[in-house]
Amino acid sequence: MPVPAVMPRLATTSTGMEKIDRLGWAAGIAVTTYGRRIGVRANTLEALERAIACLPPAWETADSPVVDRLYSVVLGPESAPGACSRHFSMVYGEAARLARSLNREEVIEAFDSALNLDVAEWARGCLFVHAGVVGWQGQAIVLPGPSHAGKSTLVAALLRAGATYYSDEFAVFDAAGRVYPFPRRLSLRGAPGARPRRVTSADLGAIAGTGPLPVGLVALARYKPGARWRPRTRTVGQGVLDLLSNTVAARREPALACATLGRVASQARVVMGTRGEAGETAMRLLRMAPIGMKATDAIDGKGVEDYVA
Amino acid sequence: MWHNPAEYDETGATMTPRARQDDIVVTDLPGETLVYDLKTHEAHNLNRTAALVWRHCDGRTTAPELAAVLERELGAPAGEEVVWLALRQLDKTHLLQEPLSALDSPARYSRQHLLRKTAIKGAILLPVVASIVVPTAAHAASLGPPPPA
Repeated sequence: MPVPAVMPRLATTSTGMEKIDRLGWAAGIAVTTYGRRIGVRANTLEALERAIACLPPAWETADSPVVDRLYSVVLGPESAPGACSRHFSMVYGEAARLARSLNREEVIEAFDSALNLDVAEWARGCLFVHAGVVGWQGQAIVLPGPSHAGKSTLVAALLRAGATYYSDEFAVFDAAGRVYPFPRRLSLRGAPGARPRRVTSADLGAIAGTGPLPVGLVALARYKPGARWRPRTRTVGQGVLDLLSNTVAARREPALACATLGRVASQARVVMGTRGEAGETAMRLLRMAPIGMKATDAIDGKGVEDYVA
Repeated sequence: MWHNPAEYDETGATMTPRARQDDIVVTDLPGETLVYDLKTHEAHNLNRTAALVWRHCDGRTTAPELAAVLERELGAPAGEEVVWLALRQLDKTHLLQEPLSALDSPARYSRQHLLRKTAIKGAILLPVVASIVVPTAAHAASLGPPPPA
């Protein structure tokens, strides 16, 4: 990767920022992603490369070094296993310290999370909803839910069953209610407390989607060991509330959020239920997806709970 | 055009309710109405019956007149008690301009009472206002949806 020539900066600075500025930065980059101008500077080229790997999928180098949001990443030297290191790694968002740890990976994860949440909140021309997304038979299956709700596990199961990868973190909708790919590496968690494992869709034998899709199914699936996936269909309005609960910029852009999600829920079937193991749920979801029953056919969620046995 | 002033009881509460118009975003959905409260960041989903009552709360129309509107629009008998059930929910969710008059908001019309009654009549869909507190960006990211409003 060529060394970025641009050291990003904010339009205005503050006393707190001057202190961070003085730390000394080896490399930086200014990018535009979803209409948001992001700057990242780092203490080493390796740290910058690690930071760039966290950028959202659709980014391009900005023409100007002036950015809306500036991150500063300090990675301490990698220490040998068992060595007693006291080199902290840190990440700042503007003047605020977002993370500080002797573990570099923890700091990178904190940066990744903060960066993508910032983009999700301030994206222009689209709406970010916390959800896993896969493509299936020309339509998208959207799985809304917060972090640690099992979205990635279910998305991975869907990919293994033949679906196309769109996202394991955000559904990115345009004003017409179509969903776009946000194909970052999937973050699969193993045992409780274990660090997530990052895998690509290719690692799971799947391909990644490239273009927007209309939404065919929105499924809110809460994991409960041993449960069987027998969802109830939601009305359009209930579906909008379900999606709003997972929409990052809902408070900042309520009119856009309500209009966009209204289109999504009007066009798709929205279901809610408790799921058991991901593999079995994935097969049931794929069997539901092509069926044309939509939220507009439901009356207060009644009458279709046994639709998929 | 001459408008009757809203009727108020001695506590200042209204007997001819008026739908709130300020600081809200209204989105029409198929068969339902979504109302986003910009002050509290709550989102309310009104089913068709609740939305009909809310849309006709103009500060002049009384509960019996609202019941007549429901009957006309829904094509099924709708008693005044259905209107009051809707109004109580709209009042609770701050979708009315002024608080409802306690005098005119009889407590005896419970949802269960009406469910039994309408089941016998085979009558209209009961009014439902479902609400959520819309999460902040960080809340949406990490903690999942907040509890219902």
